[in-house]
Amino acid sequence: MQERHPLRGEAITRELLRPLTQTPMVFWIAVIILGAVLTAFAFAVGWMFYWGLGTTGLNTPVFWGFMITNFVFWIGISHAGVMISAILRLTQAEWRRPVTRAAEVMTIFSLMTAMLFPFLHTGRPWRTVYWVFPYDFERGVWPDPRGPLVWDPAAVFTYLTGSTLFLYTTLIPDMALLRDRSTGWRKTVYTILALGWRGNERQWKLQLVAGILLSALILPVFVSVHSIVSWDFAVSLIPVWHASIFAPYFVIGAVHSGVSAVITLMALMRWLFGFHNYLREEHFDSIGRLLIVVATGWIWFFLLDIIFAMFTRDPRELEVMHQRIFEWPYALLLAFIFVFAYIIPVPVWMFRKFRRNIKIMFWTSLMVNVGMWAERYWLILPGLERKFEFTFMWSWYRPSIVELTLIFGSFALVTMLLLLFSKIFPPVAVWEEKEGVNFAQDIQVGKRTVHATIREE
Amino acid sequence: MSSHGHSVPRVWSLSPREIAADGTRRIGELGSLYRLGLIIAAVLAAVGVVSVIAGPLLQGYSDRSVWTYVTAVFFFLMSTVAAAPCLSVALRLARGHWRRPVNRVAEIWVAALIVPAILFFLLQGTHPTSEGRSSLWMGWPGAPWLWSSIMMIALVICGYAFLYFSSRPDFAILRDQVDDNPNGIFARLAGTWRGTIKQWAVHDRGLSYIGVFYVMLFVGMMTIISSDFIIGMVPGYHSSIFPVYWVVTSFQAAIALTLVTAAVLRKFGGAEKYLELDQFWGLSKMLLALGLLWFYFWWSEFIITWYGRMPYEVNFLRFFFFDTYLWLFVIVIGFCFLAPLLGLMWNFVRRSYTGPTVVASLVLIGILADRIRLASIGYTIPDIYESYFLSVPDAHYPGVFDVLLTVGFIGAAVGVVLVAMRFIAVPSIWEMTGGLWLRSQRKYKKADVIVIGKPE
Repeated sequence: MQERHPLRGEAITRELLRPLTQTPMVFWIAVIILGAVLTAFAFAVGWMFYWGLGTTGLNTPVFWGFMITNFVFWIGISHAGVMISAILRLTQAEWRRPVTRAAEVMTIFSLMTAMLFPFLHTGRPWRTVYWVFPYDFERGVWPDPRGPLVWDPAAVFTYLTGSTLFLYTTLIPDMALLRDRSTGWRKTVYTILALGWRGNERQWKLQLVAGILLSALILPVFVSVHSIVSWDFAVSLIPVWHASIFAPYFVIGAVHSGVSAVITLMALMRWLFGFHNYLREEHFDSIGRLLIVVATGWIWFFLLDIIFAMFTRDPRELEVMHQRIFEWPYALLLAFIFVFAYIIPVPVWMFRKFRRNIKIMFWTSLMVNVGMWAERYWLILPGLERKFEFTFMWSWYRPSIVELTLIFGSFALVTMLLLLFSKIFPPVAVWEEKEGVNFAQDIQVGKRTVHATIREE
Repeated sequence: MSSHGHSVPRVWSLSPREIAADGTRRIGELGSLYRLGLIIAAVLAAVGVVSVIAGPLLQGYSDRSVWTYVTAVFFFLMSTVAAAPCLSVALRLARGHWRRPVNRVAEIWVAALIVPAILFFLLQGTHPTSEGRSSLWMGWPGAPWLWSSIMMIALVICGYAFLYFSSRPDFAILRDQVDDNPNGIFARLAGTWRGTIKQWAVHDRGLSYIGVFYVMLFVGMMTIISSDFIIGMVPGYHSSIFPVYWVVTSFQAAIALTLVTAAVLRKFGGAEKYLELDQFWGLSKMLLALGLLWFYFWWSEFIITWYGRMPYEVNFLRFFFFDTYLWLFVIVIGFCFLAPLLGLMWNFVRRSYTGPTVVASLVLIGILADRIRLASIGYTIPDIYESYFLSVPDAHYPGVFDVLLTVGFIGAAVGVVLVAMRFIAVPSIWEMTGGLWLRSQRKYKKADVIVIGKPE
């Protein structure tokens, strides 16, 4: 889909660098609000560290609650970057250009936030450090490399390293641009970060090859990360967790929530930075269509997980499944997930006029992520509450105010990091936009002029 | 742009008029090789029919294991013939320009959907009642026979509607350029098509809707088949990923089938002008991706079972992969995963005619082996009403009739497609001419580039 806004090089540079040079009032208001939430977050963390995990709703046998749910959720959001950037780059979708940078940055910040939660969840993270470093081999207790809790950090750190490299590669031309237009300490910083970029033919060629290679290499990592997170649950024998579909189901759910988050971010950027010429209706339209496919794939996996769990003859499995589907509060939560993550947004996205309505796309994408957060909770908690066979060992989980503060704080943290990023680097890739303009052509078909593009190879 | 060492692909050198003339010529002049292929396919089909009558049908439905290879060939045809149009739908939705010659090559296979449909109805007699065992249907009245039959009929109708809708503009071209008879077959098939703007708008939209509906029906039908024929037949087996594995491997088979068909059409069907390196390159990239996904979905199931170590789950592993059907599984993993990975990871192999064709042929063999393995698993359990899978059955080996009916029904499907090619142009005339309008070669600075129009 090609819709044109006649823009030329200098105008693109000026408009896309505007967030770095101008700071609207709304930016400061956002910083103050987010700062307040982050202060509460820091206080909650301190409170929990001081008083211990008793300040949370965790109990026996529910050792994983809001914090692990949030960890899974943010890992899911981080899948947006690769989904949008790498896959669309490899398939040469033209509409990717204004979207990729925001998606890549969100990947990194949401990964960093996600990784915070397992540490917080230990209650006294410094103890984790001295349990592990230096490892006391005299005890004769050996770390088990076959355990998913060992695979997990390996996968997440690999993904973070790969995503950072991926983002950095795409940032280099823009940092050279900033180097040439800044003075003082900023110039020094950008000069170092631009790695001597001059924009000659060889450099562009290397940058292109690096982009394609990294796109291809990061895809298996992207799939492995959420698969391994899912195996944290699935390789155990806890009822309803021990399901073979968990890995792809988590991945597609992650793509669903991650791409929805990109829409939310695009709408906010358009509103905050005035990027109307770049984040256009056609881009929301394209992502909306992509999301219909992703969401439908997700709902199929969701239903398969429920239906085939019932094929088992194991009474405990059936008991927990009954609890998840028919008992309070999980029955309500299930309905909520269906409605928020599929039944409302997908029919809305079916209509072109709604896909091109930024407000509707913003609210529906937000709705998806509320639903997807609830879905993570719905997947994790019921199995734990009835983990043991005997009813006197069952338990309930109610999150405390400390945990709620941590959850809201994580959202504030990611948003704050994104805002700060936009003050240092362009939130839309300047060079990609200019490349898109250079590739833009026209073709005459009969009496009609059709927008066209040079085919990349 | 030729930015990392590839040469700029050749622009199609034909004019729209020449493409139309070439398409009509291919319909009108089907050579001696075509006739030979048709005769062989007809003989194989006859052998298949005789084998199924002399074998399973005469033995009746009391012993389900005699139907194993009818089920296997049904699985194989559903995974190839019925899956192929899904590739066409996906490529259309993605709007890639290179897909134009490929679409019809994939969707022509829907013509053979009647063959697995007949087998499906024959196999309905092998289904025991769903009472007393795990089933998707949970005691619905008439289940599983009524509802799965309705789905199958809907799939067949939708498949033929998709092929007809896609071919209608070509029928009009053939009506106007080949068949002078106003009551001839092409005139009847083309109906009132005149190519007005309104007709084209309805055609484009209708094709998308029918195509998407077909894909949804296909996924639904494959979920039902995987449940009714396999998961529900193995006591205690409740792998929720299995239907996904089933569908994804079917998409892999569909790509492989399209690649092999494209290679045959290039060699014998006079389509070498249309099916160029671009098409083989694009399809082989997809085949590589699907090969990796094959491993991912298999591994996702395997690791959960292997890690869980429940006694009955260990029995699944022994039955499915390691003891009973080890050699079939080795063929499957070799041809469906290792062959695409080791062959197509190299760009020079992907960007050739021979490499993708060889790998695609291996994938088809691998998928056939996989479907034989799965049919054998589903149809040879002594007591499907047990609560847990406590003992591992022996392997089921094919008899003469089993081999003959497998080859025969695959031949029958090929025969139906050959007959369909007598009436439907492969590749599509209208898609090729439409593509020509939107494509041009230009000078951009010092490079020759391809410019692709994006009208919507």
